[in-house]
Amino acid sequence: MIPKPICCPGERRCDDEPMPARRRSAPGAHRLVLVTVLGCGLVIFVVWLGLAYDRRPRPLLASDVAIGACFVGAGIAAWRLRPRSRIGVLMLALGIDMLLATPYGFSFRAGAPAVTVIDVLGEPLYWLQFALAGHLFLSYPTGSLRWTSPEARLVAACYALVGVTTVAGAAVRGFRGAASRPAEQLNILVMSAWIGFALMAVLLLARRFHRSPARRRRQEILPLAAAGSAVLLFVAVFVTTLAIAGGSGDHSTAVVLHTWMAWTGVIAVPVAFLLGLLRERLAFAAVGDLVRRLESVGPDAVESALAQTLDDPSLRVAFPTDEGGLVDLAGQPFEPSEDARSAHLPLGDPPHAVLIHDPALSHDLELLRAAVAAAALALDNARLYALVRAQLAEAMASRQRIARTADAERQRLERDLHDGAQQRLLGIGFMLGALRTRLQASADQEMVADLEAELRAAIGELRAFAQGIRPAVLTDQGLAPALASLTRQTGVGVDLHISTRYRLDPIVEATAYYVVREALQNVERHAHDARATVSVSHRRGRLTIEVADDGPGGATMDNGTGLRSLADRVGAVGGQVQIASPVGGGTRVVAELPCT
Amino acid sequence: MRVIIVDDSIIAREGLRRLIEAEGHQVIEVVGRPEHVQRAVATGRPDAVILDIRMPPTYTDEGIQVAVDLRAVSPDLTILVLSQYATPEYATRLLESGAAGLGYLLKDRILEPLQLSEALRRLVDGGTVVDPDVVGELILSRHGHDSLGELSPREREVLRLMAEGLSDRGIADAMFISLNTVGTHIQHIFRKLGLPGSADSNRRVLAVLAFLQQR
Repeated sequence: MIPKPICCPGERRCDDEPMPARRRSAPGAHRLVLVTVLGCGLVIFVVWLGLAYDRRPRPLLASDVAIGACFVGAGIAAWRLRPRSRIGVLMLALGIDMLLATPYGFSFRAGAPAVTVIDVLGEPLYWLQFALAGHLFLSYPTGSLRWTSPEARLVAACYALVGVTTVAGAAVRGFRGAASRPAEQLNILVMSAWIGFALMAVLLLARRFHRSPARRRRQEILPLAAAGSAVLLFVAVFVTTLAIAGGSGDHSTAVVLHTWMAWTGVIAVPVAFLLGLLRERLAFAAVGDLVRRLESVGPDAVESALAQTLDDPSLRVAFPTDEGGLVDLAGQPFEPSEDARSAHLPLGDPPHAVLIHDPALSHDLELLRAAVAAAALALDNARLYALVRAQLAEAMASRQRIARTADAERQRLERDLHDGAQQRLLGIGFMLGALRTRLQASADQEMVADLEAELRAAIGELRAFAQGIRPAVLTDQGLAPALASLTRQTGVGVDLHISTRYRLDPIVEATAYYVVREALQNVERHAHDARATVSVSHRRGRLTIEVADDGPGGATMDNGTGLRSLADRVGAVGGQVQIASPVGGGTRVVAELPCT
Repeated sequence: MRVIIVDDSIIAREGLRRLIEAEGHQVIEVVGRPEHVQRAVATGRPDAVILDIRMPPTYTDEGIQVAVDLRAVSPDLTILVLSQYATPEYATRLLESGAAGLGYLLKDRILEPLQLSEALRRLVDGGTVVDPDVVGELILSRHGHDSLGELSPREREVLRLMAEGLSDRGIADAMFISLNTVGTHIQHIFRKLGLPGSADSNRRVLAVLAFLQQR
């Protein structure tokens, strides 16, 4: 059982996908400083350029720079804090791209040498923003996409579109001129393609949200909704640009929408990322709480405490037994379900416990491990507790099996006596009777008559013997008639109240019968003149047998009343016995047997 | 008398046959399985059927059902049911389908000389037979509000013989008293016990047995 991997976007089930093979380690301090310095430098440079050459309102410049800076900053933070995820690198790339593309909208003196560079590079840099943003939105939070997923194909198509646009645009501008009709048409075509891609991206985001399990949805709703909104705003920008300005893109509505789109994009990833970090911090704080809580509760509570801390109500803890199965906290056998609704995490090697949890929890592997480490001692205790309980359950089950086997054996014995020896003796008796009538001499007849009398006595004894083993009435007709017969035959006056006329589990019937028989024998022996009441009732899965008498009382488990063996017999089938026998106050024996 | 024996045990069947024949009756057929009884009775037209209560498949009380089925076809058929242990519940269930000509005895009862013939005679005459051990167990049990305690010893004896299925004549003979005395006793008994009165000796067997069982 390997731990379930972090699920990647663009794939619904990733049970068979291992963790990313290359584990990126955190960037060293030198690299971070270098990148930070470069980032700051870039920001300053763009601001300086903008102050000099940007004809647009200052807030717009500030907004553009701020957005780029946000992405750069968040990218550096993510790169440092979540090296395993590609998100950091993507955000950094997007931020740098945004900053580099900002001058594209400035108004430079025509003819200056730098202008050509900016013009040439500006266009691809501009379009690249959208491809990078799409890549970012569709691959959040891991930054990786499976090659075969629709998301990956869409992103590849976006990058391809950027490339094609650059080349085609350069060609058209070169051969026909920047303001020519083909250039305009190319622009319109490109924008339409982007609109199409954007709509597809919205659909993919919606599909991902729809497919994700409840736990993930809560965490993903912000980034996905924001990303979706940003993309829709993107569509709106291009639609208005196409519709109104015929492709020039300077209309103020388009600009406003553009700004909104960019800021929504910021919320979608950088802000969501930081909120995610905050959430994790809080979750780790909960682990601290866990330690404190576990100190004050018993082993039973480990499971619920972990479930609460990890916010996974379906969390279960199970322990491997020596026989190879699993038991839960109560020592009961535990069957892990094999479907995708739960993930298994073995703890320790060889595993001393197994955590069964919501697969979405695999996202927070660090949290999971922290919680498990905090609960290590409590888990160990719980394991011992569970194993002891399992052994106890097995001992009780074994006792029950023994009791059942013994009863079945008795039934068989009584049957064999009844069908075998008793039948034969009767047969002999009949033949003796026949013989007697054939004999002439009265002395011979008398001898045979004596033989017959002996035989009848023997049959009577055998019958009593068989009844002592297990009464035929009990086997053939059930508890009520057997108790009726028993109470009639006993030497004590008995009031019998029994309402269950249907058959029960044979071992239950036998145990109930023996309880009454033993109790009535006690009454006969120790309280001969008393009257007894026997009540049997079946309610809510339990059979209650009560034998009460108004004799002298004083019966205990060990003073020769056979009550201890009665209690043992009842215990063997999982029941309980209560005895109330105050001296001078009568005796009351109540037995409760589980009985479905 | 012409008798059919129904018992799935070979030992019992053969023993019974010898005994019955020794007592002067004729065994016209011996049946081992309950399915074959109806046909044997239809073709053989016996005076009485003697049947063991325990038969396949459950070997508990199939005999009662066989007796009830036989009586449904021929209500006047004399049937004696034999059992290896005394169960009042079987007796009452058997007699519910009409007590005349129905008997319930323990197998070892008929080991005593001529008990079988006596029982058969009573049955064929339209009477009822209930094994004294069955009745005895019922009467001996001591119960709280014991209305039996209100009966005099003679009345208790009459009650016992009534439960065994004896007719008034039979009771009079057994106790060496006159028929009138028997009648008086019976009236007193029925009044004291609060039983619905019935002159018919067959119907009252069931009433008395039921009363004794429900105490």
